Amino acid sequence: MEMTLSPTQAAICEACTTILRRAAGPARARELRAEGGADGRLLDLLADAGYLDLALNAETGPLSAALVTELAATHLALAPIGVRSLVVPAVAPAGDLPNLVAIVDAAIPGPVRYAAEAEALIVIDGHEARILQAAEFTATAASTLFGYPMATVELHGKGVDLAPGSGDVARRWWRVAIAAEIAGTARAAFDLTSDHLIGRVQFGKPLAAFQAIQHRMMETHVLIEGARWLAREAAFHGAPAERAASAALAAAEAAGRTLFEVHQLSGSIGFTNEYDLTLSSLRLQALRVEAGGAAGHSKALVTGRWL
Amino acid sequence: MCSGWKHVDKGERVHFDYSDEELSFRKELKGFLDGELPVYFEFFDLPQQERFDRSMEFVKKLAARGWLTPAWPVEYGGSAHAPWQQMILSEEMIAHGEPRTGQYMNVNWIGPAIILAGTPEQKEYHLTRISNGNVVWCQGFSEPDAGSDLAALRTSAVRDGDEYVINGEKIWTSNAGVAEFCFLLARTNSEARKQEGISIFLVPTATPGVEVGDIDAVVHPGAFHHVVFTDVRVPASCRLGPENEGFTIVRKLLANERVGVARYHRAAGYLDRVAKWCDERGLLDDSSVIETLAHARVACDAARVLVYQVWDERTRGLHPDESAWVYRTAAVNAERAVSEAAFKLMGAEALVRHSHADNQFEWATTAGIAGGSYEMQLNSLARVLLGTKG
Amino acid sequence: MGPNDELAEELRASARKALDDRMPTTVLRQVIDTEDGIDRSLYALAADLGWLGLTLPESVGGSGGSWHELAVVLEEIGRALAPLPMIASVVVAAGAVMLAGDDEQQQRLIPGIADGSAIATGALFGASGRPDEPLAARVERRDGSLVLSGVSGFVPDAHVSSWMVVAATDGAVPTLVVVDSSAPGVRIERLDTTDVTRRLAHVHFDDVVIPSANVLASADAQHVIDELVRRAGVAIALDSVGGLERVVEITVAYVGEREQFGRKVGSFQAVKHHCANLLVFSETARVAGRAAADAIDGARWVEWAAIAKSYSGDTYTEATRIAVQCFGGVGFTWEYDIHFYMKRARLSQQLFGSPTYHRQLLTRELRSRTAD
Repeated sequence: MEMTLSPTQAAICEACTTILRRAAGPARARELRAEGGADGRLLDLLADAGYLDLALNAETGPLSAALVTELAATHLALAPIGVRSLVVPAVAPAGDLPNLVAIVDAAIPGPVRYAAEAEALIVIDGHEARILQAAEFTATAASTLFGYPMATVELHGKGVDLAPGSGDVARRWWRVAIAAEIAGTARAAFDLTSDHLIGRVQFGKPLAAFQAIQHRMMETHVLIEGARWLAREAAFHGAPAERAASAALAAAEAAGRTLFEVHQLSGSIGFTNEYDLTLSSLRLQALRVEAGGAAGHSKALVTGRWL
Repeated sequence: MCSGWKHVDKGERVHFDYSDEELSFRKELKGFLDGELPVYFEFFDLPQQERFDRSMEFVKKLAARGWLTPAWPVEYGGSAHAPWQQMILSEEMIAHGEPRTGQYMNVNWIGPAIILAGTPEQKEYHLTRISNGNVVWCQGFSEPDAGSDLAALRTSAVRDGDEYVINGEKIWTSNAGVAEFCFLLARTNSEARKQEGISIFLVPTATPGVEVGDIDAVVHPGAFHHVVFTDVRVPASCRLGPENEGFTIVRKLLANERVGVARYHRAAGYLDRVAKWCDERGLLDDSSVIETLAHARVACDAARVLVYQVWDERTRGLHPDESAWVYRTAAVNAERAVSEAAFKLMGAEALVRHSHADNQFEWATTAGIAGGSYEMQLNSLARVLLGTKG
Repeated sequence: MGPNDELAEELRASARKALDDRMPTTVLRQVIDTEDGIDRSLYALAADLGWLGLTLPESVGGSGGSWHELAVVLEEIGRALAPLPMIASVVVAAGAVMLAGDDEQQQRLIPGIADGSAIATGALFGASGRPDEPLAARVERRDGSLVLSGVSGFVPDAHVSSWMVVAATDGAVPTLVVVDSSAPGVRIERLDTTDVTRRLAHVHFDDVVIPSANVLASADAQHVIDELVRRAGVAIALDSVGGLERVVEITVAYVGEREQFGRKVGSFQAVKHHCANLLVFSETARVAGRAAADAIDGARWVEWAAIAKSYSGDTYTEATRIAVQCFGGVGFTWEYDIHFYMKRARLSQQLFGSPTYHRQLLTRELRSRTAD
């Protein structure tokens, strides 16, 4: 057991941060919000630098991929980095897929993140999974408030079957990816809110000096930290079903609490477009319902642990 | 069959694998405990005297195997095992009803305090006895008007030649009825700022003027005491560390007290039994049952993974603060979530005294208060993360 | 305030005075240490004050009042934590006989309940005491007589009852029978549970012969059981309303006195918010409880009963958890009263259906309404 980043891990995080500071962040997120679509440019930058292929590298491994996923979310990256760096290597290790990949579970209705932008789509169907190329599905953009480009999907082609059992594998890594993304996104919302509370004076003192506010923020912090480390742990252990579900459920619960608290404690400025909070906060709502949401993660957890 | 992949590199990095040595330690320890104690044994269910007798007998066996103080330095009766082994020990002990009962405190922080600040004579005398498993201690911290506000304590120790004269009252002292020594905080300077006038005394409870009474508590009956000190004279050699600097020593070691026993592990064990109860009744396909169980399980999991931060810092020779507060908060969440799940799912059966759910309810109720209240952990965390006072 | 409310407030004042005089927690502490854990002289007083017969018809010794007044008494009992077997005897047992019994049975059994000379209870559920599990007691016809066997779990006040209404299966359908608690074959296994202010028991039936006059003649016993669950649930919700009110009072008083860090604990914002939340719980639970009491037999009775029981169950337990946290260590001592409420809340949450169960009933009711 070792909870401190190794020099390699620290170097990866540092180099990634440099790229993300330049190519992602609030300004870029605003640009994309205006333009619509996903950040293909960022995805290519990270891919070219090798940061999306850490999972299969013997020197680094899936934990490093989870760290990058978390970090990218903290920097408000708007691209399917978790799917590309954690799910794809697990089900399609040959490395012949495009960078922009979306994922859907055929049993779960509703719009799909990045489906309209995706060059390929992983379709989970029970225990199995297959990959459809862009020509094999139609994605109709859905209007949502929640920060990601989303689209409803209609499948035409059969696509290419992945190895037997890939549906289960994809689902497990998808949960780890979501957990890491939530941990990073919630951290961004939390940090921005902390700064606001320290800087904003009401009743003659900073809001952060009010005990009720402190307690709510710290309870939220504890939930985010739990989700973050459970996500890392699940990635390290290869996303076993129970651990992946536990991380995803911890993250979904943390996301719900964070979303509620950051908006409540930021007051009305939190809802304005001039302020950065919604760039992270609203994404939490999309992430916490993905892959079946709390109900789906709970079922996977209970099945994995007790059945 | 596609199984995904698993990374196997175990170099120096964030990693979540126990070493082979740690794994075999756990296996050996577990085998020993399984042989000694029935399944789901609870020392806390025993009447006090029997609990004490059985615990003393058991701890000596642990000590004989070198498993009482494995993380201590060799010169003080330890085996210099890595802190992770102490964590494993802590989990396995609580999974078997915490047979060390009060002696876990000796191991976790009373001994380390003496290692940190004791004179050679104090170390020789106390550490030998603790590491042999021959002695029970109690902790004289809280007072009627000094609970969360520990530094407001009023018990006084006045220097009189080669002695100190102690007067005051302590409450919530677990094991005071059977303890041979009290790790006492008392005020030695009433002029100084309140944290700065406190000293530590290692007081033999047999000293004339020490009187122990029961607190009539509704949870863990018989477990809590109050101790009254009336003109108790102890030699100055009973003082641990410099005069008036007791609070600094205690604050360093309170992180260990905050981590305490592996609460999350006991709670997770209870939850397994609740899940089994549900399974036996065919309830595990009900979505509200599933969500209740999963929510509680995640709370235990989060506390477990957060305690790793604390042990990691300890491995690196640090005295964890922030990580310990985070963990304590998560551990309280876990205790409560499991208790709530048990009540919600088991209904009236959860109300029967000394049922698993009833025991868990007691742990959950005291979890947020004993050893520094939940709110105090949040206050301390906020001081670090939001840079605030109070 | 209508005439109805003036009457209710008078009743409240007299009930509070009676319970303050006769059942302060100093006395409660003695009563719970007795073998049976109830105060029979207080029960006699309750009869004299007309509490027991309040909602029973005049023809069987009651005063024909409404649940509006009964609600007041139940709230005051909950506030005082009074160990009175009133819900078991009046609401459940007498309720069952009034709903399902014939004239002879009512005349024979109810006057004793109304005047307090008899205490009765209802054993309506299976071994776990839950309304959503199968019954574990059954009746069979043997040599021309009806024989009861099996078990009924977590029956309130069975240990002091002279008779009980038992739900048992008769073939595939449930039936209700009146059983003499001292009849041969009835064994009452007392339970040690968290709540010391009320007693529960498992009741075992070993070939108990049921005289035919003791079979409650109802075409649909399940319907009656469901109605009894609703009434007992609302009665418990009202008991909880009274308890919640007192929890707010004693918690606010304590944090207003206790000092730490040189100031009143109640001046810390986190504690203030705890207290504010307690008040919100108390006030909202009261609205739900009283609305349910006033809705009995009306069009929205089923709905309000489910709301009141589920809402009070969750808020009372959560409020007492917060309250104990506000008290800190002394909250666990016998010296303070708060733990009595915490434990009473725990039992109330589970008796006669958990919050989850009542929410399921609510969903079913709302769904059937939209279907109509």
